[in-house]
Amino acid sequence: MTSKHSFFKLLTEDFRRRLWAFALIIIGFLIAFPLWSFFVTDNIVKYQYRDNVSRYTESQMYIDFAHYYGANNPDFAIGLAAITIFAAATGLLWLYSPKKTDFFHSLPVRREERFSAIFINGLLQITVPYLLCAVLSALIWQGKLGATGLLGLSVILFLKNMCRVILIYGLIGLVIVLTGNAFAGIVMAFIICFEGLLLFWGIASMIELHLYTMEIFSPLYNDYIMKTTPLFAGFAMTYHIYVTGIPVTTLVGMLIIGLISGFVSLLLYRIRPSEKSGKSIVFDAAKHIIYILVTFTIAIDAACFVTALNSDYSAAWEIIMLIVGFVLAHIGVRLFMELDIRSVLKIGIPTIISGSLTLLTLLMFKADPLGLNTYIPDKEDIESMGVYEYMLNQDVSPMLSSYAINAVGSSRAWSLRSDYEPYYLLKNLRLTDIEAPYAIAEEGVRNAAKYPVKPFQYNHYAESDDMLDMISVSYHLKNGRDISRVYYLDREKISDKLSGIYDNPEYKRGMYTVYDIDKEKLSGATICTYAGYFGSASPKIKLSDETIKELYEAYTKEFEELTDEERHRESPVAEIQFMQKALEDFLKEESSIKEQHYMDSFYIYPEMEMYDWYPIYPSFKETIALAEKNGIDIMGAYETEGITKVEISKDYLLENGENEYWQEETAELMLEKMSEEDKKSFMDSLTMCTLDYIAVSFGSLADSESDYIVQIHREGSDREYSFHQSYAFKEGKVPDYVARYFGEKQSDFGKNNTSGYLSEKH
Amino acid sequence: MIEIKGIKKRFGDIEALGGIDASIEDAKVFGLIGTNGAGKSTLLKLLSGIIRPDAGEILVDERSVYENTAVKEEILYISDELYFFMNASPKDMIEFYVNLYPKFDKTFCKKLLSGFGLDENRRISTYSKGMKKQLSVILGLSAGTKYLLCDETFDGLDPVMRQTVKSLFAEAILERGLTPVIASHNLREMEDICDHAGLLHQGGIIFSRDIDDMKLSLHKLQCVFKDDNITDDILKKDGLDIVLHKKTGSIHTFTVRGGRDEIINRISTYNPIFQEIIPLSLEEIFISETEVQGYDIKALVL
Repeated sequence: MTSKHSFFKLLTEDFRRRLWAFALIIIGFLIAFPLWSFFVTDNIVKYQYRDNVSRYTESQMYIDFAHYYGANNPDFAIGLAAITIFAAATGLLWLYSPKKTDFFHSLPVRREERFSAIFINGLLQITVPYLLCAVLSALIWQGKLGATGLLGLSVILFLKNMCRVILIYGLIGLVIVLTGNAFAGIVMAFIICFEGLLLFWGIASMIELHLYTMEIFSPLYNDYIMKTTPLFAGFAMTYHIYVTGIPVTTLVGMLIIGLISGFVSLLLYRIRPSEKSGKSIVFDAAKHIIYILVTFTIAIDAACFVTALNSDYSAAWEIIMLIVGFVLAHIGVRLFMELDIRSVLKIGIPTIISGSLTLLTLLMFKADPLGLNTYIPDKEDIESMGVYEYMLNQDVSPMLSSYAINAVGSSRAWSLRSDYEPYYLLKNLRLTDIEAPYAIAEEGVRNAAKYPVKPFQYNHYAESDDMLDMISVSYHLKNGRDISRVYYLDREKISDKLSGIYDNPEYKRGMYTVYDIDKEKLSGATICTYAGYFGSASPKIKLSDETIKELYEAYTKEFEELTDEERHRESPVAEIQFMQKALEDFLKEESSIKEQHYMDSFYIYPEMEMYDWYPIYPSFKETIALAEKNGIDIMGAYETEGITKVEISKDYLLENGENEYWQEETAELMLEKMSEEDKKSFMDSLTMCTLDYIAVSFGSLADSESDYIVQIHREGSDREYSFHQSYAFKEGKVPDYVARYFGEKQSDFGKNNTSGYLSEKH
Repeated sequence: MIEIKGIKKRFGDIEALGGIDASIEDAKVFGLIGTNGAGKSTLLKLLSGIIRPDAGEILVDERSVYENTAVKEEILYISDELYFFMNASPKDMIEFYVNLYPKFDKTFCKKLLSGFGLDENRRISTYSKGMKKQLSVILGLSAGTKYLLCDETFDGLDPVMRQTVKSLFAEAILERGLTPVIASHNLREMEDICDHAGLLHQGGIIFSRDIDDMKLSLHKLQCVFKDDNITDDILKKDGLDIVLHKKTGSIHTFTVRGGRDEIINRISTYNPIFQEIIPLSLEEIFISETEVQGYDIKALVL
């Protein structure tokens, strides 16, 4: 096409040719936007707020609008993806037809011009109706619900969604240019979506099995998946990221990958041989790369699959499955590429390369010639270290152990912590005294040399002798590198080292976000006492502004000085929570995201009440004194004075299935005539903590499947009571008369006690 | 003028063209003849810049054709598998071509459509196969390109239509020097149209020659001699370039290369009882020419 035939003419020519597709896209958007908006807003007016539409607040309208048309609405995301695939396919599918390819390539038009016109036209066919319909929907919402400001939101949501549209559009373009027929295109799309994931699963499984000290932490896993399989990850995130939605950086990443894919498609299209239309893979070099990648990945995955399936390791099965996986992948890929059964017998250079690579990989993992599994840096090269051990990180406070919030990364941004995610903690934790961590690491390395594959007998609690403890260690080297390892070892052998680490103020400062608070920016503080009702219903008292700063200083100092020995000897008597605006804002934002997307689900919205409670121990004299000065009685719940009776009774299940918590006649143990000493020893041994390795629950004393109720009667007040979940006895402090009573009641006393402490004592 | 220099093209393990040299002169109808799989379509695709040769070069008016839009504006390729846009009418296709070929003559095209009885507003998908072929030729002629490459376009067209197309070609050749290149496996159908023919076999051109030249230089002679002892050897020794000789009863049938008068004069010296020059069909010319070169034309084309 000569210069007088402008690009615009090509664009309009392609548009005219695809007018039918454009019409269908418009219909799709009209249904998704204006029509759906009419339906939804009608529903809101007629049913939800029929009495008073003005109750439907503007902020709620924002949330609802974002819920329907946001990047995190899975239904909308899938619909939009379908439209995108349709637009990309109608533009480029002619490349699968030799007849059409010959026709278009015989015309006097430069390839890059034709491709660009088709590519841009397809995008415009999505963008223009999408934007118009989104704006129209916003106007409908505003008009029918009487509010303003949705236009801006609709444009923001449009921009966010367009990032994913461009990613899908670019990848589909790339797939079509690389392949020559629809079947191959579908297979290639599958490979693009899942190859990275499958390859990573295989390699990660090999690492976990053979080089298990190099365990890959879940944040790295997610990061890798995002980078290698963006399309899959994008959709996975739509469904599974509950906390922050799809971050802007991810969206920008999708946009960039989409644009790069489009550009690579253009480059490949320029050299795409016309005669390859109708074949499977258009570029011979790509054939070999795909062959090697797929056969290697499937072979490695198959080798790991058998172990994943059996939760047991067998070297013989590993090798058999490696060979079976390779052969099956070889047959599959050859058939897919050549569509000729004889091609299966073709053993070429790619087969030799892939086979050698697979065997070499297995050898690298099994024999570990580089010594990666037993690697430990020289002490002189280490600047600081971090140690994460589950039990060490639990602070004996039931609330804290469940809902602590940890800082993430160097920016100290907030993030809700999952059960085991030491990755971020280890990044921040920098213990300059490396004696104890290094000794732990050395013990871990000795064990790594002892076990050729990952020992399966381990857990976070190390609750029995035959279980190994799992400890994550990070080395922050002087050259700036951070290296992490996970060791499996006998906790007994390193318990003194772990205690030493806990006693180190650097550990607490690195581990707990309470030390990140700028005391000048404190916005409040609450103390939860165990007086009155115990457990989650315990009274929470907000402190006055004047005392907050003073209390913060006292608490952080005393918590820093708390030793591991003290926290085991003592038990928390209350909990404290310091509030700051940044955290409150974070939780508010979290809560709002949940509301947007999971209004009907059972998800518990994060509230300030659930997070960042820190324990107060009896030895925190200054903290307790300051609290009492402000009228908060912390120790009162533990005083023996005035106790008239303590009852421990079994909780019966009634026939109708409901629990009957209190019935006089069901009381199993009634300690009415307790001596002052008994009362003292009873209250002294009582703890709120029910963690198995710290305390002995009532249930474990006898029939662990039954619930027990403890009631403490005091003079002149209502009885206090709690359920067995909230009460337990401190380690090794089960009062004799209680133990004796249960011993009499149950001949095989201690049978259900998994901690071993009771049987040791009795 | 199209120059084909040492063109090679492979498709995987198959060698489609194995080093072709040929030239196509301007303003003549070039027939590219060969069996299925001989490489005709491949050569046409190379000439129209659809595919790229593995080796060698194709020069159209001394310019390379692949990805050269200026050259491609002078070439229109009609594939053996015709393609028209979904739901398009001839009118839509005209609009499409007008944007791509600067010399496209809309008036001429509409005149031809009307002449051929094709409704420009009717959907092409409702046309018969023959009508689609007519439409493709009309569009090709109207595009105003210098070269028109037709792949099996005339196979199946009736003789009247072939004659019509031939006269249209002749008109275009006279008016603007059109060079049609027509590929076919059917010699009989090509005879009406082509001025020049090239025989393609197994990826190579066996020969390429002007049909009129071939007709003028090769003759079929039937004669009866008084003397039964006159053989083709005797005649050959006398200077007659006999390509083929058959004898049925007393009737000799010779295919002789050379001028008509010269052949008659020489034969007359042997006092034949009867002699007659019979016109050769293209098929017979090809049989003669290829047999001379050691090929069995019947196995190749017919």
